Formats: sequence, structure tokens, C-alpha cells
Amino acid sequence: MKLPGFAANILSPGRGLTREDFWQDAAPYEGMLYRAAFQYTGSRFDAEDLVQETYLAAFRSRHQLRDRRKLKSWLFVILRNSFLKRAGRQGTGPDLAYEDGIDYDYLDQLAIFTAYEDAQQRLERKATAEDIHQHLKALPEHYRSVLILYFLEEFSYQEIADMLEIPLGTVMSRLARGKQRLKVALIRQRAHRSSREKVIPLSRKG
Amino acid sequence: MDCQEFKRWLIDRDDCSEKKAQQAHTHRARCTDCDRLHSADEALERTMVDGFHSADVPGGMARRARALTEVVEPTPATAWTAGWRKVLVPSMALGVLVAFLIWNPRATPLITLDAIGTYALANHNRADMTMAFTADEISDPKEWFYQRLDFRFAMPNLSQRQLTFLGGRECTLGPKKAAYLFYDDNGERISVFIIPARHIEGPLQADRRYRIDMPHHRVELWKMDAMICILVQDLTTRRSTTT
Ligand SMILES: [Zn+2]
Repeated sequence: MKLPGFAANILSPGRGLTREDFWQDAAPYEGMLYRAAFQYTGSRFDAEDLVQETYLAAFRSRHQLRDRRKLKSWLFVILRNSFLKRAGRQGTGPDLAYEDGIDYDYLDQLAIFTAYEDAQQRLERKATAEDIHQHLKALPEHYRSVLILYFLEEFSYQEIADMLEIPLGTVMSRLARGKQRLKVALIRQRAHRSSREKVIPLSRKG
Repeated sequence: MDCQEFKRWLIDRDDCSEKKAQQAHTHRARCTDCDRLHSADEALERTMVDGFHSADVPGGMARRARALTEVVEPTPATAWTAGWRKVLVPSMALGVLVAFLIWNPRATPLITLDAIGTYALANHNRADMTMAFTADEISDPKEWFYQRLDFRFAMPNLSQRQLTFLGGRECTLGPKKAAYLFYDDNGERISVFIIPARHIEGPLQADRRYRIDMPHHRVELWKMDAMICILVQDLTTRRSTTT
């Protein structure tokens, strides 16, 4: 397996985790990995598959992990790389060359929305993981990964920068932009109908 | 701090100083508009955090991955036990898997309508979802499916829409097996999925068609006997048909 740059920094041959240590340390991260995988794939089936693939790849390289404390970050990096590889292979993956330039007027939309009589009530409405995925997948991958790392695990900016191998400032701007886009999507969803109301009868058959 | 500065702070607040936060707090206390924006923004942040964490995690993924590695890469053992291992380890791994399937409380979750639309759309857009048979190869498609799936269904009648049946394959909609039928509509591919209604959450009325709006696609659902049919078509390349 070709190691990504981040992994190359925390891995060194000949040391690392034994079989027992690996499973003891890695197993508790299955929830984090699955939720991240679900946000990438949008399918329970594919998410489970991706987690499995991640564990197997990490297990095979476990002897090389230099810093045990980095296991969580390392697992995430493997998961993301596996997803990107799959997405490329399927040819239906995320748009990786999306333009950054579009500016949504988040605050304008928020101001309009808060004028609704029941705005607060609508805002309090829960979003499911599927809702979040629907909105996330409309974003370019580089926003998605930053948002997933930030919201799922509250990784620090520096940790995210290390894992994605991008400058700290880029993490901050992508996070701010990504959050605004996600919020705009949530506002739009709440400005329209609930997901139950979204099912509209078409026509009656005879 | 005035309203404009407050709004700028609201957008950049993750990167702003404590002092700025204090000034924003003071402004909010005397400006209802900005206070309302702030509350709404906070509510959206909470919604996002909860939404990201709301996926139900199926248990046992690490355990199953580990069982696989036990089969692939057995623990070093003496020659005597190694022989036994060859038999025991794979059967234990299989046992773990079977036990998981039996006692997993989430083994038969119901699929929501929104989720079924998402799964159907994902299959529709997957380039590797090719036909397992073409219409002229198989005389009785429903028999073909019955041999592979655990349910029997009648082929949907789509002649009113002038769709031509092209072929089919098995697929999954989330955790459940489904039949995937390929149709042609004047050169455009239409996907129709069939899954037993017992896997779907909430009742669908038998005499109605339902629509789920998805980005660039139309997903229609209807009940056919004990089955649910899900039809997916692209909206990007075609005129809008019904509303
Ligand atoms: Zn103000």
C-alpha cells in the first residue's frame, strides 16, 4: 500500500503496534469511522464496507505506526484515501475540481428566514445524517473532508491541516465557507417543506 | 461594534479574539436584529453537530474485520495447534459472522422513503451497475429474480409510459436486496427498483404515486401488490413531465 504523505510522517518501519494492541486501540473508533464513511458514501452498505477496508489496510501496516496517539488520525486518512480511490474507480465520485468562487449570502438568507413567524421552530428541527449527506455531497470534496473532521471529531485546525496536508489558513477558510454553504442548504430545506411533506401524490390510477 | 461589524464577526467568529466576542455580546444585548441572527446561527450549528452524529452505527465492524484478519493472517502458533487452527479459525470467524447476523438487533431495519430514494439514485448513477441479463436473453425475468432474491413479483406494467424493458440485475437498496430493471425511454435510461413493501417504513397507499425530489433527478414510488416500485429518471437531460 502506498502511504500518503501524512502517513509517511507518522510511520516508520520496524516499530508500531502488535496485533492485540492494534485491535484494542482501533476498535473504539468504529463509530467515528462509520459516521465519516456514511457522510462520504451516503449508503449504510458502502459505509460499512469502507470501514472494513480501512481496518484491514491499517492492520496490514500496523507495524509501521510510530506514534500510537496518531492512530485515530491515521485511520481517518486511510478511510478518506480509500473513498477517493473508490470514487475515482466508479467514475461517479465527487467533483474534485469545483470552483471555490461562489459566494452565498448566508447572512442575507438567514435574515430573511428569521423573519418567518415560526423560524425558531423550523430551525430547531432535527437534521438526519442522510440530510447532512445530501447537502455535503453537493460540496466539493475539499470542503467535505474539513467539515467531517471538524463536526464529527472536533479535530483542531492544526490536526486537520496535518491530516489533509494543507496549510492552516486553508483549513480555516474552507471550514468557514463550508459551514456557510451547509447552513444555506439547511435554511433552504427548512424554508420549504418537511421531508414527509416532500412526498407529493402525483396522480390517482383508475 | 455596529451591525455590520457584528455580522462580520458572526461569519468569522471561529477565528476571532475573546475581545471581539465580548464586543459582539454587548452589541447583541441592545440590538434585537443581530441577536435574532445570532440565535438562528447557533441553532443551525447545533443542527449540524447533531446531524453529523445521528447516523446509527452498526456494531461489530471492528470485530468482523478482526475475524477476517484471523483467517488471512493466523496468530503465530505451534505446529500442533496450527493444524487445528486451519479448521478452527475459519469456522470461528464464520461463527462470529453468523452469530452477528442472528443477534444483531438492527438486522431488519425499516428503510425510510427518503433513504430508499437515495439508495435508488445511487444505484442509478453507478457506472458499474451493468445488466446481468438482457431482455432477449431471458424469457421470464421474474423467475430469474425469484431464483436469486427471496421474493417473487410481477413485472410492472409501464407500457402506458412507453418504456421498453432492456434487462435486469440484482442490487441492494441500503441493507436489502432488490431487483433492478433497466428501461429505455427514447434513448434515455430509466431505472426501476423493486423491493418488498415490508422493508419500507410507513404505509403507501396502493392507488397513489409518490414523488421524492432529488437533485437533478426524479424519483417516483408506488405500491404494486406487496412490492414497492421505485423509478429513477434524470431531469437534467429531459423536459419536466408531471407535477
Ligand atoms: Zn445589530
